[in-house]
Amino acid sequence: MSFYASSEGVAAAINRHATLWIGVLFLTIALLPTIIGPLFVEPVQGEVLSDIPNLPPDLSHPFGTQSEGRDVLAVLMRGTPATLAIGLIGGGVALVIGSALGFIAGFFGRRTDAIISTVVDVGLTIPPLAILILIGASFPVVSLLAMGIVVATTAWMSSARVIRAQVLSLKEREYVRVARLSGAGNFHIIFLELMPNLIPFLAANFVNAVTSTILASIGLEVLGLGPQQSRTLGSTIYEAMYHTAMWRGLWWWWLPPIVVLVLIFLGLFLISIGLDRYANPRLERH
Amino acid sequence: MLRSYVVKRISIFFITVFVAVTINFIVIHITPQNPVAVLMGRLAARGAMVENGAQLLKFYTERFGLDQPLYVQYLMYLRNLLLHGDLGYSLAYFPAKVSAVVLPAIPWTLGLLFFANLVAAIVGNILGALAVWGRAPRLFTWVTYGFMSLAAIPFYLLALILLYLFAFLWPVLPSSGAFTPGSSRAFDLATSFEFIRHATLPVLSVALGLIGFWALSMRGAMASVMGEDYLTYARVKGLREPTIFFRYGMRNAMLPQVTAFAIDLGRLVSGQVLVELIFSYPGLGLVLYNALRTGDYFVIQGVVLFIIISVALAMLLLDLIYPLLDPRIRTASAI
Amino acid sequence: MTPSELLSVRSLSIAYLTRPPTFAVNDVSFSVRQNEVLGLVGESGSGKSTLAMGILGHLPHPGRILRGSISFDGTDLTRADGRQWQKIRGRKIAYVPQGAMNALNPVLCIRSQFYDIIRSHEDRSPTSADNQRLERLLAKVRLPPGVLHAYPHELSGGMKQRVCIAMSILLSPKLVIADEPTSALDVISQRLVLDTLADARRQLNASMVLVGHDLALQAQIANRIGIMLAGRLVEIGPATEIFKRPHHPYTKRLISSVPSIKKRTGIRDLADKDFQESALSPNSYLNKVGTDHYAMSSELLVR
Repeated sequence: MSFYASSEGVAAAINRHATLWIGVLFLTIALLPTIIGPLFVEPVQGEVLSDIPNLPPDLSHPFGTQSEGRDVLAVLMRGTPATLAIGLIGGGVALVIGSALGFIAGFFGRRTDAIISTVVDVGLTIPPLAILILIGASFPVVSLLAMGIVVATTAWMSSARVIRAQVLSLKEREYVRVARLSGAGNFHIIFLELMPNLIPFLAANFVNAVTSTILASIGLEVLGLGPQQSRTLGSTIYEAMYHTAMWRGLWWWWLPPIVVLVLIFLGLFLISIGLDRYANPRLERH
Repeated sequence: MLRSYVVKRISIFFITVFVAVTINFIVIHITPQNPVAVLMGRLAARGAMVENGAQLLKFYTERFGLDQPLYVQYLMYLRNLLLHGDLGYSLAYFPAKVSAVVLPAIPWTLGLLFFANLVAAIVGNILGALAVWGRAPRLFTWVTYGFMSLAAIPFYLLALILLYLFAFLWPVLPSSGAFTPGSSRAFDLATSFEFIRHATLPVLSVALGLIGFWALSMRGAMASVMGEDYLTYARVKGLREPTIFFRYGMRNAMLPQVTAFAIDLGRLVSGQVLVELIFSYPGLGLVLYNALRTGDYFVIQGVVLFIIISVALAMLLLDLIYPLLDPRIRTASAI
Repeated sequence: MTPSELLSVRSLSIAYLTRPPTFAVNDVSFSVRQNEVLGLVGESGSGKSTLAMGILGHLPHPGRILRGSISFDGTDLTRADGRQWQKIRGRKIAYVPQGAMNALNPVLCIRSQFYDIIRSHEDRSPTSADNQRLERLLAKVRLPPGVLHAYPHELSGGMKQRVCIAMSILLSPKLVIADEPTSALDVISQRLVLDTLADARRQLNASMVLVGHDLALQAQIANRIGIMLAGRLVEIGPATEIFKRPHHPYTKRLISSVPSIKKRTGIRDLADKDFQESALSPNSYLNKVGTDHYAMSSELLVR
């Protein structure tokens, strides 16, 4: 799709994909504290007792300090990339596992499909957070990587289902039949015929998987089950609530992480819709 | 045929319950040591003590066969759970049983779920449908987009924002609990009013996000329906607008909605549980939170199991209702 | 418009406002008289379906009527408002769709869909008398009363098509527009549907515009035939005239690719064949070439 080559010009093309770009913009704004932060504070100020606790925002502490003495901006600087990293790791793992299994199920059909589909169906029936709480309460989840993988275990199933449906429909298309009839092997069909057409779906799916994993990870962290020491946005909120920050008027502690999270979720949401339009132009006309 | 569809959905339900129950069992037995002793040890590490700890240990060893081989334990566990509904004892509130701790919270959670969903479904579906229906005022479309953005944010973040706005910044609504401490709790007007005041923020947190979800999926469903021949033909037949909108438009768009709702149930319940803990609303969320803080493991298991089974049951019910709504499924074969 | 004219289309132009715009109907004029069947023949893309939809006031999204007028029973349809359409569509002008595959609401039973029509047009709730009325109606289209209980997906293509015909004649319209009503059907169902249409039309004394691409079929059925090519009406005249003395090269080509008319026996005439000539004002580019027979000059060949 060469949208730049259309007669409308670049400006109109950007307008058509406005949703996508606004989503990216939101994500960028969410990362702003992380990017600009180092001009004001050092990352080490995110450690405990780096300064007097509960200071309101001023020039040396643009977001003030919290009850453990950490500088809130420094905490944000660490937390935002951490949360996003969990999302990317989790989303990536979920996508890879989900697409692979979904693909296998759709392509090879019958027994394999029946088994994988049952697993996916059962998995989709169980609310992810429930299982995650169980896992989180049983084993302390400390590292970011562990968190990412743990949330991915529940997120791969919707990817699998979507990809399987797509593969099933693509399998019956003309060009696949033609390829088969001309003697192309499975390998060729998979990588040269089916995959390229799946890419828009995979992209949209990836964004959704990232959203799910961040959602799940925040859910766990808010319950106190995630990486501790304010290393992610969710655990920052948890600690703020644990120290009853809202009741004590320490708005600079709990508000910034919420704002950043809202921006992240809105950004991902808009990107997802933008990509959806790409793969599914039917919603445009009515 | 319809029968194979029903059989399939019921078997998925049972498999799900089985898997959940088994995972519950496995998770606690990962370590070869006596799980109850381990848990009590963890509690002790936090400075808490289980009253009559020895008694608890004895009970568990007998009831659940902790000194027996693993598969025997598994069978005893299943027997206790499925035949007797025995989830064990709460560590923090011993000698209270887990069911005694969990059950009172259930009506609160269900009540919240029911109201939030009802409001959100009605408002959201209509907004979503109108957003696609060319003849609706522009205002509707913008309001709908607003709600759809709210839907992107998890319920508990919305809850925190609402909590701040309406309980602190502009203190019109209470910040926690279902009743004001020290109230009479009688069936009178004052109590009912209080009850509603306390329930408002939790319901709102869930409903606002849900409206967006319903609106978004209705918009998609409606857009498909709009392109269908039977809608065009309905217009050409000269049917009245409201008739076309409700009986030819929404009635058909509702079908994928039911499916989407069933799929989203898990997220909905999980999200609500977190909202409850933010408002200290006496539902499962609060029970769960307290259990996590005190390390009351069996209660955690109980809550998780309850959530899984009720969501699975709800999905089964929705799946069984679906053929009633879509006549085509009644004669088609299961996919 | 003379008294016997029911529908009068004058210099109608319809375009789809895409970029660049697509001109689907280009300066078309014709009339349909009382009790007459007009066949509109053309290939895909000739504009005949757009024309039909234009008359019904239901052009799909970027479509717009650019110029011209459509007079029906004293009303100019190009300027009709919602309320006027409410009285006309489904009641005075009825439509029989092409593929009835998807034309019926899948979640309502057939009876409910008929009741919807009654409620919308006759402003009242259906009674048991209506039920009998529906059964009689179904009998007219040779369907058993059991169809009323059924859902659309339980009926065959031909049955659905006949349900649509029944729906169109329920309120005794004056004009029926049938858009390729038999194209999606097998030959036997085709014949049944056409017979049904013939009976229905005759009983109602309604006029019909039959849009299609099968010239041979139209020849058996229509009083007059109009040939459309690339949005223009290139020839119009009595059916027998068109066949005996085709004028425009495209018409000639269409006829030469049709197997012999005489072989198509067994289909009863849809219309009665005695008509008097009436004075039809010719279109700007249609020249009179015979009795009631007009054709476009072959020098103005349209691609």
